[in-house]
Amino acid sequence: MFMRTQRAADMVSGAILAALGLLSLVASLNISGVTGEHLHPRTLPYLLSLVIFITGLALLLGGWRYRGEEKIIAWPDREGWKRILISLASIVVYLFLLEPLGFTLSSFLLLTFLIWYLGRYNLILIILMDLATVVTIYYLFYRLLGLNFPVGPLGW
Amino acid sequence: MSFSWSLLLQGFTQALTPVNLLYAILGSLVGTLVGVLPGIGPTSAIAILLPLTTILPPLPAIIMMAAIYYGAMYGGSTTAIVVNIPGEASSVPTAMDGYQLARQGRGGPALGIAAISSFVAGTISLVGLTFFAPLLAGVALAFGPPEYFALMFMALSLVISLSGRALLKGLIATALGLLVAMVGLDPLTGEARLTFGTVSLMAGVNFISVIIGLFAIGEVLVNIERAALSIYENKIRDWLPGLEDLKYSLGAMLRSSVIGFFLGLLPGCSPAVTTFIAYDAEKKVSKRPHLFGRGAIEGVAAAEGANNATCSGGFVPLFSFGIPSGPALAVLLGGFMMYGLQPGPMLFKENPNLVWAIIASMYIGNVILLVLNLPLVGLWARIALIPFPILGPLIILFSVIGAYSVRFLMFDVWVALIFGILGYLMRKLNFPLAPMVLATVLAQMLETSLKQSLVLSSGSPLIFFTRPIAAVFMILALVMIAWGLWLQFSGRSAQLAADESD
Repeated sequence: MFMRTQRAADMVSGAILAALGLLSLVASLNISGVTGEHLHPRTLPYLLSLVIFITGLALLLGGWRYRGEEKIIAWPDREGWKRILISLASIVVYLFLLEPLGFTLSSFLLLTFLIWYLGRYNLILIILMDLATVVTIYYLFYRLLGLNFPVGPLGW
Repeated sequence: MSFSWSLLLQGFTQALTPVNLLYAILGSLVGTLVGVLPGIGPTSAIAILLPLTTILPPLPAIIMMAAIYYGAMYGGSTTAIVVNIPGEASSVPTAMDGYQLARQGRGGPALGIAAISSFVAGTISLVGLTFFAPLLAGVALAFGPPEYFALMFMALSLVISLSGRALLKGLIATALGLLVAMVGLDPLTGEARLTFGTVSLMAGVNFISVIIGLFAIGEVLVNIERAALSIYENKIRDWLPGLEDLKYSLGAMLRSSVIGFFLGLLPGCSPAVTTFIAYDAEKKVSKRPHLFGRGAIEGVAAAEGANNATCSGGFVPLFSFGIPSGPALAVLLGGFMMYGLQPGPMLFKENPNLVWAIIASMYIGNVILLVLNLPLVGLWARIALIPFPILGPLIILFSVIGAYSVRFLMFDVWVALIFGILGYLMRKLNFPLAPMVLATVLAQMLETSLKQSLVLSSGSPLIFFTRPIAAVFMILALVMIAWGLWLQFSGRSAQLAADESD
């Protein structure tokens, strides 16, 4: 499997970091600034990008040259991956729905789906609990504390 | 600057006003709760609540945030003892003996000793804080920008070198944290940096979203991959510790207070590290070391004492220099900054009432926590049994609320999600989280002090070595880096992980 061992993971993450460092190195060179300043706005980003580029390469090389015992990374099993990816997908959908549907309704949908998916409890119980949660949050944060959450077409 | 009784007394009168007392109680409750609940810790809790507290004046808000931090140290022991699931990394040594005691039906005394030891050590180290912080703040009064830069540089070096085997990864995490904080407009010249031409990135990456992502969301993702844990409960026979238990634990409480407090002064020495050190020390001086790991009550006392002492010790560098020693205190520093307050000698000088009221509230908070924990421990143990499938989605929901309410931008929520995934990967690939958080929070102060120093010296970096105090910090920083490298290549550092995974 991809990045199964610590060594492979170090090499992959090192390569990604080096690429990232290079990208931000180029981006830092494009930072314009006023002349005559003792610390140019680009200096620190440039140095840090350089550090990330070099340490990324070092991680890659260190992994490549590593000849010790293989350390296996505790990745989840198939079921675990499925749970993580479906949960992540539901969170992404939730964030996209947050503004069009409003905070209260979209949160209710997220909680209901995710709690049901992860725990398989009685759906009616879940719905009652989630209703109580989002209504409490709505009154506490939106009405009482006056926080400016996105509201849906119905105003909640 | 020195300690004065009248200022402390004034602090007490302020901390004891009904409103401030209410927020201390609220903070203690929330702190115990997040300490008890595995999957959410003080760092996440403070980061999530920080934006919401901006409706409060600074004093009650900071009293509450601080109470969440030290309250979590009390709560962490409960699950460790009752169900062998440490709520925090710092409670792992507590679980070693505490759970064994619980299996022998002595969970009650173990919980009682944990609460008493937390209180004793918390209070002793608060006395240390009360006297040390103004003293050090007096020293820090002489600091100019070069000294501050050197001090922060030293703090970051120490955190990196405490990453142990993962030294390189600690350095990477630090550099990434600093770089992320530089995205957006340059605070000094207003120049757009690393924005890749996008408007969203112009506003910058908010460090609260970063921390909510790394800690709260990242931890939920780690827990989601496992199937729901089956948790079983031990019968608890007697609730209160006896005289015998106290006799065995008293020495451990005092010793762990001292160890925890002094190690807590160092950046990077989070409770997760010092509890192990205090536990080992206690095992070495004990007359019955064979009992350790099999239900030695003094092991519980040592771990829980060190836990709380480190926590109060960490407030010393925060109050006197404005330097956080771990992720939770870094978020707390962020809280000060949201109010435009900069902890450090100037705060002691210009706003002594605020500082002393916070310190006084911590004494009161420890009493509140003892009262909350001794009789109600059964209740907390029950709350710990909330199954993760319910808790996890709720943490996600609160993370979104927290990230959104920083600036009311969806962008911040997406940032939190991205850093959540990054936090998950960093945990899996053994990158330490603590250096990244510290770097993100300190980045702006670091750059500003660097800039001011270079103005003072007309551009010469030698200023960090010609001013004596700055030179000492810089040399210490270099020594620490060398020490870290030595640890790295001699392979002695398996136990020293500066990371506080919440």
